[in-house]
Amino acid sequence: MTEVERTVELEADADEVWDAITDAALLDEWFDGDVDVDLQPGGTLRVTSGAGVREGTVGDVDPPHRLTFTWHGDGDRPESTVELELEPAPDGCRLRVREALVDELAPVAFPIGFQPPPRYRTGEARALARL
Amino acid sequence: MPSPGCDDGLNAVFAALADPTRREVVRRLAAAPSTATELATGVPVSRQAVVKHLGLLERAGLVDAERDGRNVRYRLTPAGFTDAVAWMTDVGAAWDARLAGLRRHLARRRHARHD
Repeated sequence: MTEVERTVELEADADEVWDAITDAALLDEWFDGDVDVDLQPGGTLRVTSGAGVREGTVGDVDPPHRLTFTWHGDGDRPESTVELELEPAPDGCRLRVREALVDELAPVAFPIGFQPPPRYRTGEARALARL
Repeated sequence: MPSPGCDDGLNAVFAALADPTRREVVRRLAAAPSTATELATGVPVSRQAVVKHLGLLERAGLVDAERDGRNVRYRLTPAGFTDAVAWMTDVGAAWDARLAGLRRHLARRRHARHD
């Protein structure tokens, strides 16, 4: 499973953290990028930053406990799902983030001496590269 | 910073390679795809143990299993491993930066409230 997970303890309650990660005005204060989101299941998500524009679709919205969304795949980055979960903790709350690839980066046996593949090639791109 | 015990893909890869028998399996598969029976000859563990190790390697994305008639043949998937590790490294770093920014934001607000 190609995924990344981080869990942090934050000195703020879940409601405050929820607002910080979903409210456009608050995101402006700390997030490295401009976030435009329709915060409901199926809503569109658009993040503009130095790295370009990233688009996605919102999944679950359950304040202040759980937020999920899917980043659409583009030329550079494969499709991935993001889950954010908040639970109470002694000094505030605990935020767990998990981002997982939707399609596994399918392996292909390369002949010896082949150049290393570009980053993040998905199974489809690899199959085309073999033609 | 990944929290201790956090179970992400990168930790799974490192855990998979932490065991000497699994490293030997990976070395053999680098030479040629093999069945569990073939791999079990010349390692000091049972075939059953080799199958368990292969399962763990497969779940970590390092090994692929293919049915070949009645046999299952395992092979190393280093290209997918490299790309997957690169993705995990980059995405992990991005989340670390974002979460640090969130933490600083919350601290600023906390201090502002106490002034």
